[in-house]
Amino acid sequence: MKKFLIIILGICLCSSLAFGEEVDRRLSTIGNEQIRAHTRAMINAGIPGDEAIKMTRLMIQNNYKDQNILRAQKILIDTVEDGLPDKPVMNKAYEGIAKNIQGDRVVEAMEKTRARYSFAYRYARSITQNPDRVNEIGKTIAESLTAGIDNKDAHQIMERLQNTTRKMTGNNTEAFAEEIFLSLRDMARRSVLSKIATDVVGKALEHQYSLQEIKQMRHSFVSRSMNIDPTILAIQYDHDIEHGVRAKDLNDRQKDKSAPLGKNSGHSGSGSFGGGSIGTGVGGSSSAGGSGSSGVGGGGSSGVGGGGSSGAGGGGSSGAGGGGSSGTGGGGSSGTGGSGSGRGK
Amino acid sequence: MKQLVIAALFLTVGITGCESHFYRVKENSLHLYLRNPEAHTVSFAYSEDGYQLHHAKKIDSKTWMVTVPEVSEFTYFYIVDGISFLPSCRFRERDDFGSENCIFIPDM
Repeated sequence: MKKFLIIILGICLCSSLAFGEEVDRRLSTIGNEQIRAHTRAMINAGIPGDEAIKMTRLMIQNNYKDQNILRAQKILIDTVEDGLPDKPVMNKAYEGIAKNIQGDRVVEAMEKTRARYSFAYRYARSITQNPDRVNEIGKTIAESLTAGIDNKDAHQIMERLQNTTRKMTGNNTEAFAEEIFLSLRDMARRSVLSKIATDVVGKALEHQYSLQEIKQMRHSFVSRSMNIDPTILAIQYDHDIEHGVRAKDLNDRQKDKSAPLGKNSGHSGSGSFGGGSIGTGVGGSSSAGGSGSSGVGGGGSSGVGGGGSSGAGGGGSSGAGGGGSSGTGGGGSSGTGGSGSGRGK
Repeated sequence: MKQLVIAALFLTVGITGCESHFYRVKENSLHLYLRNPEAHTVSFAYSEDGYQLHHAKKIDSKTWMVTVPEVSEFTYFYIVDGISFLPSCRFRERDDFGSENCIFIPDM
C-alpha cells in the first residue's frame, strides 16, 4: 500500500514537472520569465493549463504590454482563489481580443467581471452553503447584473428577500432567491431598465407572492413579451401587482390590454431577432439604434432605444416615460418569434 | 404626397433597421443569417468557444450565413469589416466595453 502511494505521488510529481516544462516550452519563444512564472502560478491556482497558456499567448500575440498581461493573470488568480468561476473572466479577455479592444480596457473589463461575480457569489453564499447551489444562484445573480440590473437595486432586492425568506426552509429560500433573480435577469435582458424590473419584483415581494407565483409571473412575462414591448409590459405588471392582482390573473389582465407588436407565428425552429441595431466602435463608443412601436391599450407608441442615452418612452393607457443613460436599442416592429421551416419543438 | 411617401419610407427603414438577422436550426446545427449587402467581410464570435472568429459565408448578394453546432444559451456579436457589430436581437447584455452583446436563447 505504501509503495503504491509512493508510485502515485511520483507520477503526480513527474506530470506536474512535465507540465511546468510544457509551459516553458510553449511560452519560451514568446513570453519573458516573469510572464512564464505568472502563467505557472495561474495553473497552480487551478486554472486549466491549456487555457492559461492560450490566454497568455493571445495577449502576447496581440501586443499587450507586459504590465497588462501580468494584471490579467493576477485577476484570474484572485478569481480562482476567491472560489469564483474563472470562465466568465477568461471569456471577457477573449471577447476583448476578438473586438480588438485596447489591452488596458480589456483588463478593466476583466476586473469588472470578477467584481460582478464576487458580488453575486457573496449574496449566493448568504443564501446557501451548498457549493453547487452557490454556483447556480451566483451565476443567476451575476447574469442579472450583466443584463443591466444595478448593484444598488440588486442589494435592495436582497434585503427584501432576506425578510421574506426568514421563515422559509433552506431549499425554499434557495429556490425563491433564484427565481427572483431569474425574473430580474429575464426582464433586463429584454431591455427593461433596472429600476422598472426591480420595482416589479419588489412589488411581488411586498404582496407576498409565493415561489409558485413568482415563477408564474416570470413565465407569463417571458411569453407575453414576445408580443408586447417588454418595458410597457413590466410597467403594467408593476401597476397590476400594486393593485393586488395575483400572478395567475396577470396573464388575463395583459391580454385585455395588449395589441401585438409584430407577427409571431409560433415556434418552429427559426426566428428573427426584432428590430434595431447597434454599431459598436472599437474605441468603445456605441450608438444604439433601433426604435420600436407598439400599440398598447388601443393606441400609443413607445420607442425603446435611440442613441446611447435614451430611455423608454411610454405610450398607451399605462405607459410611463422613462429615462436614464443606459437605454439600449432594440424592440422594433418587425416582430419576433418563429415562422417558417426548421426544427419543430 | 411624394414627401409623405418618402417620409414613410424613411420611418419604415428607421423602425425595422437596414439589416435583418434571423436563424434556423437544422440537424443539430444553428444557422445564423445576417443581411448586410455592403459588408466585405463578416465574422461571428460567440461565448461557447471563447469568442473565436468564425468567418461567415455570403450566400446571396445581401445575406451572410454562419453555422455553429446547436448548443444551449450563448452570447455573441459579429465583426463586420473589422469592426464589432451588434445586429438586431431581442436579448442583450452589457459587454463591459461600453456596448452590448446579443444573447441567443434556444427556442425563443
